[in-house]
Amino acid sequence: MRDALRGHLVFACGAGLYGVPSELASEVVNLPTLTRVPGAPAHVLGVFALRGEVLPVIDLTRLLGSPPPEQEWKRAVVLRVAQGVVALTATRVLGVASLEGNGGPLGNSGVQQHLKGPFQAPAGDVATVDPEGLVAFLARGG
Amino acid sequence: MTLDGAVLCQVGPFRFALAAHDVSSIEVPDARGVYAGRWFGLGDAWPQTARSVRAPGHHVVVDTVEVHGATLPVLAMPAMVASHLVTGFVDVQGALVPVVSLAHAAERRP
Amino acid sequence: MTPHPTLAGRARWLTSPSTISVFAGIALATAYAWASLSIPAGTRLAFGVILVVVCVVFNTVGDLVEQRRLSVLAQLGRGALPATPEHLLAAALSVARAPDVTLVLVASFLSGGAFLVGVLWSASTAAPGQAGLRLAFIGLVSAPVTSLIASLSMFGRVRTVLGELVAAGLPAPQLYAALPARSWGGRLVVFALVAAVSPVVLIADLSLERFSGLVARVGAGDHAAARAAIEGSFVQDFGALAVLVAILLVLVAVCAWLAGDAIGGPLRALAEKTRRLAAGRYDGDFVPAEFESLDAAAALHAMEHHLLEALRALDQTSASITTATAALVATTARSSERLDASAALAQTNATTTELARSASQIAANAQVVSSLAQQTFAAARSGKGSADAFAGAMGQVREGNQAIADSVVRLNKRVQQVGRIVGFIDSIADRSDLLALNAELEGHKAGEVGRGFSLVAAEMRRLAESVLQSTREISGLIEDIRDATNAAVMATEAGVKATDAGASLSGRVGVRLTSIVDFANQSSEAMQRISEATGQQQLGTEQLVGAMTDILRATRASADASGAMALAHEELVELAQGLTRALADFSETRR
Repeated sequence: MRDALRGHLVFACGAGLYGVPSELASEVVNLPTLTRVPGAPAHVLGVFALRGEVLPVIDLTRLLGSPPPEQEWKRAVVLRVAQGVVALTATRVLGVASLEGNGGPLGNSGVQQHLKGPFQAPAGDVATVDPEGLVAFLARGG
Repeated sequence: MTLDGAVLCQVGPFRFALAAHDVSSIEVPDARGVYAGRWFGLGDAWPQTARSVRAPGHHVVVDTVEVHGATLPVLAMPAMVASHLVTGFVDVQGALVPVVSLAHAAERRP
Repeated sequence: MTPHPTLAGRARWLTSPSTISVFAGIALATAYAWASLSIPAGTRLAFGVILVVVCVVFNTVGDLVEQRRLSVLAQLGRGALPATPEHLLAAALSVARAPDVTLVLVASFLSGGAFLVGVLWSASTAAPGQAGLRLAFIGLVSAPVTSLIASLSMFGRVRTVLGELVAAGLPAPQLYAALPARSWGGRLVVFALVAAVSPVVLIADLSLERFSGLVARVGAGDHAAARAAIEGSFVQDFGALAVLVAILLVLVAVCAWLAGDAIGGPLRALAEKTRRLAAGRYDGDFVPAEFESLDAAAALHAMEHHLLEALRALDQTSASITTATAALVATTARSSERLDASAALAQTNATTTELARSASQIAANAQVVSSLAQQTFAAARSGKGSADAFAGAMGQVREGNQAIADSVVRLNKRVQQVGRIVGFIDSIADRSDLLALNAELEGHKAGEVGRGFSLVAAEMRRLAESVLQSTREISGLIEDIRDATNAAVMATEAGVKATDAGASLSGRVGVRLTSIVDFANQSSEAMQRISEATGQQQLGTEQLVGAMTDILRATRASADASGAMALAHEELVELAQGLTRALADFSETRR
């Protein structure tokens, strides 16, 4: 299948570029000071409050087992799905782009099954994240 | 959901809150105590001035203890964050502080 | 302890002459009694026994008393007492007293003994009491002269023992001081009386006895018988009287000889000693003496002691004189050598002439040095001017450097302000970017309706990003400027320090140059003075040459005088050597 995907918000997370459907990305925020959660898994960097709501912040590189980024985390992309709200850390947010190409699932198990790719964007190859699948995966305990 | 009185505990740079009604006494730690710093990856050794916070069936050692008398609203724990200790968060002077359930902690020792 | 080699047996030896004298006296007295008394035939044995018993008993007692008196000497002789000065002195005093003790003992024992024999004999044999009385009388008369002989016979041995005690370690001055000061005076009168009266009494007694016998015979018989008896007894009596007189003469002669020896012996010894002293032989010998001669001996001994002291001092002085004389001899020899120095003076005269030539050369050199010093002075003054100019320049450089440093510090402050402003712009751009990003996102969510909105937002994002890019570049520039200004600040500080050091250095150089100018000035003046002084010295040297010639002449005259002086010295040396020899002889005789 080769078609143009709807608009995705593309952001850099360490070495890789990831995209989330723009209608599920509610907003982009500067990453504030986080509160550590005792007993939480390592990919949960902490939580922060956004307009009276507690948001867990997820580090995709830790979740995927990728090498940690050289730059500091600067932004967080807030994803809002039916099951809940979650923020993904980003070193840089490139903007909304249309993606092209035939991307398949990156794996059959774990979090990889909720990522697809590669897709082509002006900035380079992008892997898309399925927010609903990711949130469901996290709710199961990572 | 609210918290009527909280015991604010500090270990290293991190803070957590206990429900005041869960805490039976605050004492000098003994050898059987468990240091809460372990939850934040700080190791098992507590400082000399540490305090032991006792609850029925469990006690945890922390650096300092501070009792907060006001009633605080508790923010719900996000569903997709799996923690066996934290039941929610309270806002203390603009900062989120996790509320730890010692009953949960007793079930799964840190 | 071993017996003392010289004092052993001396106590007994000392008293033995007195014992002999006593027994001799008793024998004579007995003989007289036998002759003058008509002892009845039946009582002769009893008389002999009584006499022997009394003699033995009295002699034993007297001997015991004498030996007890001399017990210290006896113990010293046996070695029972150590020969310390105290013991020796005690022994010497007992020895000195011994003749007196013997005199008293013998006188009392003889008279007492004679009396006792008379009484015992009369009582035991019913002899006529008159005979016993006469026996006692004979003893009483013979006792003084016997005791006198016994006492005088000891003096020789007393002196010998005293000499031995001094030889054994008794200090002579101590003995002289301790011996009692006695006088012959009354003693000699008594001796003379005894020696004169005893024979007279005995002769008178014998004559009276014969006369009374004759009177009895005449009164009893006829005239013819009496005449015959007188004629017969005259021959017999004359013989007995002659024998008695002869014996008495011998006794008196012995007495006189002993007394003369007692007095004369010490005087002879003193005379001998005085002769030795006169001959220069100082032996320090002890001269034993009694009575007046004791004082003489003590005085002589003290005189000898003082003489010895004086001699010892003289000996030392003589040694000094010998040394001094030797030194004088040596000095005189050297002085003779020095007389040859007049030749050296002639040499000196030549040298002085040479000195005069050198002085004029030095004066010329001093002129040259003086001009050189003036040149140095000028050069130093010019150098000081340059140093002052350098110091001024250093001050200007320092001020310039300070100004630069101040400017750089101000620039640094400005750059920091710019940095803050850029940071502020950066944060605004960042927020703008975020805002535009969210606007773009919202525009996309609105679909076609929001497309224009999205475009504007995207354009705004590019603008914000370019601002961020610019601020990033500005931040880099600011960082560069900060590094540069820091380097500049450090450089100017180093420059200031360097110019400070330079200024201080040039200051010191200036001070040094000032002192050099002073020195150069002083040395220039000094050279001038040296030049003048050298000129004067030249003049002086010429005068010196003249003076040297005069001295040379005078020295030759002095050399002749020195020759005469040398001769005088030699004489003095001989004199000193003679004195040394004389002293050496003197010392020889003393040893």
